[in-house]
Amino acid sequence: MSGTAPLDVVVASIVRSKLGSIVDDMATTLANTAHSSRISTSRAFASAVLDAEGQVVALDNPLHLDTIAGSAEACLEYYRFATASDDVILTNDPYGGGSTVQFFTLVAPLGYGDEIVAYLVVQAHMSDIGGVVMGNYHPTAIELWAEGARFTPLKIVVDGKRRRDAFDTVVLNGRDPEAFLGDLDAMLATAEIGRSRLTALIDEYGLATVEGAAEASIAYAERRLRAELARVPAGTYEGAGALDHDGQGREDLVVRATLERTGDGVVIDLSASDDQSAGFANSPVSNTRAYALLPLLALLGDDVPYNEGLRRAVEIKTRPGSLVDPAFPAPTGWCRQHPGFEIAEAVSHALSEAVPELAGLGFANQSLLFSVRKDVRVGGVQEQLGVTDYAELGPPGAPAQSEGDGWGKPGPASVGLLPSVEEFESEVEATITRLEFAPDTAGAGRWRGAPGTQTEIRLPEGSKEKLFACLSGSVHGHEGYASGGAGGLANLELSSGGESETVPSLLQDRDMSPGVELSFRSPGGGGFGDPLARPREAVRDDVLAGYVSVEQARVVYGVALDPETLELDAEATATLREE
Amino acid sequence: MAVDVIFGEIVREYFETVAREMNTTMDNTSLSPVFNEAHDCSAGLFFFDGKEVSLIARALAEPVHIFASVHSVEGLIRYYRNDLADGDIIMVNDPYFFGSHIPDWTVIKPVFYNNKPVFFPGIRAHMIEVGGPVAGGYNSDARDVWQEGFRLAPIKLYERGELRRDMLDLLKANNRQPDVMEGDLNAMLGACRIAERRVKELIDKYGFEETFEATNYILDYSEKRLRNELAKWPDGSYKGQSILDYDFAGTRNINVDCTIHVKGDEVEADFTGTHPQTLGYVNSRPGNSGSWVYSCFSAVFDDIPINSGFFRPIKLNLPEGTVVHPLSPAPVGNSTICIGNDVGEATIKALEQIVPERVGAATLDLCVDTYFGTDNRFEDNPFYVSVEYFATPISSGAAYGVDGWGAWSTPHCSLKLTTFEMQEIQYPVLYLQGEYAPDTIAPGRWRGTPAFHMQRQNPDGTAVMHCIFIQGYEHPLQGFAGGEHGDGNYCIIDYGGESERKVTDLAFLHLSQPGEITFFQSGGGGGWGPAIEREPEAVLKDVIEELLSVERAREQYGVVIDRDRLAVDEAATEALRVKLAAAGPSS
Repeated sequence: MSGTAPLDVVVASIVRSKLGSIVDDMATTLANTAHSSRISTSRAFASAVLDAEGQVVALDNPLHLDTIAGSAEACLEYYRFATASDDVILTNDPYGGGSTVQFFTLVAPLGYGDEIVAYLVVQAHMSDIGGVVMGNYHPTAIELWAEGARFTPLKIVVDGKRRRDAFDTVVLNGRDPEAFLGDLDAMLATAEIGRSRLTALIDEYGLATVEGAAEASIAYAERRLRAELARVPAGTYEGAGALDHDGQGREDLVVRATLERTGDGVVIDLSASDDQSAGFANSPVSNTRAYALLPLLALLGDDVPYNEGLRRAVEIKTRPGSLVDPAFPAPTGWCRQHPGFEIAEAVSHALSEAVPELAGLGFANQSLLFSVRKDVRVGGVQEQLGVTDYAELGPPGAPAQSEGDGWGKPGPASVGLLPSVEEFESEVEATITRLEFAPDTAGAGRWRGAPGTQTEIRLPEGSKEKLFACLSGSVHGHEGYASGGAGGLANLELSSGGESETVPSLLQDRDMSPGVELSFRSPGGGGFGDPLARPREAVRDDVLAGYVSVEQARVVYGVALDPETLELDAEATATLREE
Repeated sequence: MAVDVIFGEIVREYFETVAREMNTTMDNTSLSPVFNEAHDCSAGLFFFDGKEVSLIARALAEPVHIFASVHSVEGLIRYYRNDLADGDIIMVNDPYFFGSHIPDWTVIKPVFYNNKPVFFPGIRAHMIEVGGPVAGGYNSDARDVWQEGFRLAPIKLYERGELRRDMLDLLKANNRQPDVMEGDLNAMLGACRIAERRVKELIDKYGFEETFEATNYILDYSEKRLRNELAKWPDGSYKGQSILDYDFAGTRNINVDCTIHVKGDEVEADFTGTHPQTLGYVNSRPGNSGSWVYSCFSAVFDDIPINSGFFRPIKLNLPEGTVVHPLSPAPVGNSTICIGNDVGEATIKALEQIVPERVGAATLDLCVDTYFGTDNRFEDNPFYVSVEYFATPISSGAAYGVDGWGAWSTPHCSLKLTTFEMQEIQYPVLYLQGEYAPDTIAPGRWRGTPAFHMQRQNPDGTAVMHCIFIQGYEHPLQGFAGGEHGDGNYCIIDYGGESERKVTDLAFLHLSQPGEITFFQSGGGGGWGPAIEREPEAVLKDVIEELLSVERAREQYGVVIDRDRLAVDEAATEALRVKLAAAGPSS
């Protein structure tokens, strides 16, 4: 660091906030200018400011902390001594710090004076990058190349000028060049916004101050997390999370975590996790780190920046060849859902064993449920023209925490907006006939989880959609904490022409042309604490809201309600709860 | 036109030698047996006069490659028109960016003179691995081009003499055998560099203006020679047809129709009436389709130097939306042979009506097995992928005055057989059989080549994955001028085993067990002329060599042979032939 003068704490704090608002600004820019709804509505992206050493200083979305750090590290390492200001480097390599081929990362160095002083990084979910299935979720892929094109670090802008051939090659490998270019342009503009805001900040405060404040911000985040981790008593704690299946017929894939308190930090060891999958349920190591950190981030308040400091406070160990550290060229397409969830779940259980009131992770089972529109547009080519995601209509319920009920979507995933039914119907030929919380799917407890959602979607006769489903949480649901109950299980039923079937775990390329009704129930969040300890009024409120049935209130919560009037029967309740 | 003919010929021979030297460089420095054994690549020298791109010389190598690469080189030069510098090396593979199919990479190195790029040595080679969902790049499940491999727009691999490392690493990242790919790519670059040196030496020796004029002489000479020949052909329209068995995706009997319109000293190869493009990966981009037409003409006029001047009087009409000119994003992976072969066969069948004595099998029917697995002869069990070249090559047929002679058909005969021994060294396989099969010859006054039978055994202890693609079982290679068609291709998996099965079209991602045997028949090309006109002594020779039975000699050729003495019964033969001739060709 070039600044040696002591930094004023107030100034440092102001600059830290301003760095945070730069990434927020970038995020807003991207959401407002991107072409595809994955970015604009689902907000499947992150933006970050990195310092001259490539350390994350500010970031808007912690789900991407390590994939941003990892991808940037791969790019900067690759172009060591060959990076100039006004270059932009692109990568999507799951084995170069990334997660899945859909997620593209742009790294844009910021020159100030004669040197590179920072990097602006944008990571976003692109519409399609080739491979077998449009959208790149390919449950039966056995190698990365079947999922899509793999871009190792590649400069797409050199000295401010687009490298036309590199650009064309990237775009050529996606099925929807218009959307791809639109999103890529938006990402480039976002990096530019970041550059100009950060330049203005340095102009205002001076380079030394901004660099000092960045370092202080990292130290601050580290200090805050270590302080929270100090609540973990010395010892080793274990937790596990199980995935139903991997799309290749293998069942019960387990991620195992041990959490060990060391000094004022912790070591999370995932080495005992099962061997890697033959299919796409593999989490490359950067993605693994991000999900392992999630439960710990729930400890922190809003004022703690997501940055390198958090990474410093926690050491994460993995075993090469396992689900959480697969060997190239294993496919990785599902990792942002699974085993991402199992990683967070395992760590969360280990953490709650250490400090029960710290239970409540920020993630949940997320099935894949989407369709690819296939139509013959030119001369007999069966083109894949678009992807519709149905799972995002009905997100899984969040788990309860030690001080509150689960509410809506789980923590960090909640950056995404729910699509509006009207907008959805206007863009897709499907009709949504039902979308509501499903009764008795919330994990019971002193604090209950959020209920799952029941979604019913009708695809008309002659539909050109081909349905893909890869279910999770239909066997291993969201377990509760501290004697809390498990959340309800996921379920998918298809009915057509009076016949209905339950989808076991995997469905690929199913023709929807006869006209089909999908009924999808997302899993509910697990509860926290003994259901019998839940205040009876709260249980009655849940019944009135339709979350809990009169039957479940009686059997699980020991709360008796009059089935007609829904009035509390205090006497019967007391008896029930005693039993 | 002021060029002295002798000087022009010296320059032409020089350029052809340069092209040959490029190919030799490729042979001597590449890693894959696809190149250093089978020669599945081609070299050429291209010229850009500021308006038009011309092929001026080519190595005697696989012609389909180099004729198709005219299209790619044109595209590359157009793409980089205002952005080329001395020391650049550029390349492309994408079928919808002037290419044929993803595995065929075209690399060119502009040679600068007076700050202008004028000559472009280029190599076109079939890379054995190109990423994508299926090792080896032949994915019959592909329904669009993205399912076939990594698409490469034109890129500069070298910029002003400096390697763009990120581009090379990108290519390697999308390849299952990055080291082999890099080795082969370096061989291609080396060949281009050799050519650059040679071209500069020539210009230094004779001067640019002189070389420029000699180049025009070369092109004009071939053009004039062909026009002279075409002018002798009677004006009119001549039709030929070829039918592809299967598109590997549900459509059978895909017709390719070629009508050659002869008018004065020009011809048009018109493919109106050809089958619409199909779902499967047999659709052939125009560069590839045109190259098969050119290769047929080059077979017919074997004494005219082949270059872009030769192509000038040949117009093409490849209707959009058909299998000979598919629209994006149709899959194209297998088109370099099938539909390409059918373009060639339809063309040569049309030409048969004009110059029967100059035609014969000029194509090949696909019978290919791309197999891959791990090689357990080595401790680290390396991944390998191999293309079986022994299955395809016996496609030559008879021509006027000569019997089918084995190996590849005329235009493709620079492709060599890999040797069994080298295959067994490179890959963990064992060959059990490789020989002509009796009574499989296409009859004719000059007979076709007998079918070739081959058996290959898997190693112990490791299974092998196969992508087997067969054409020509229903519609084998045709005969000419009354000669019969070839015997057709097929394959038998688990040969002699419990789950033995005959494959006549497709066995995609078939897993065979350790020790399992796979059998292939490569059917051979057709005969030329009516069989009953064949010299009885020649028929006897085939019987003595155990290629033909006495029964078939009688049935097919009307030649009666005394089994004991192994001699022709001349009287009986004459009588039988009179009878057969009266009965007509159907008997």
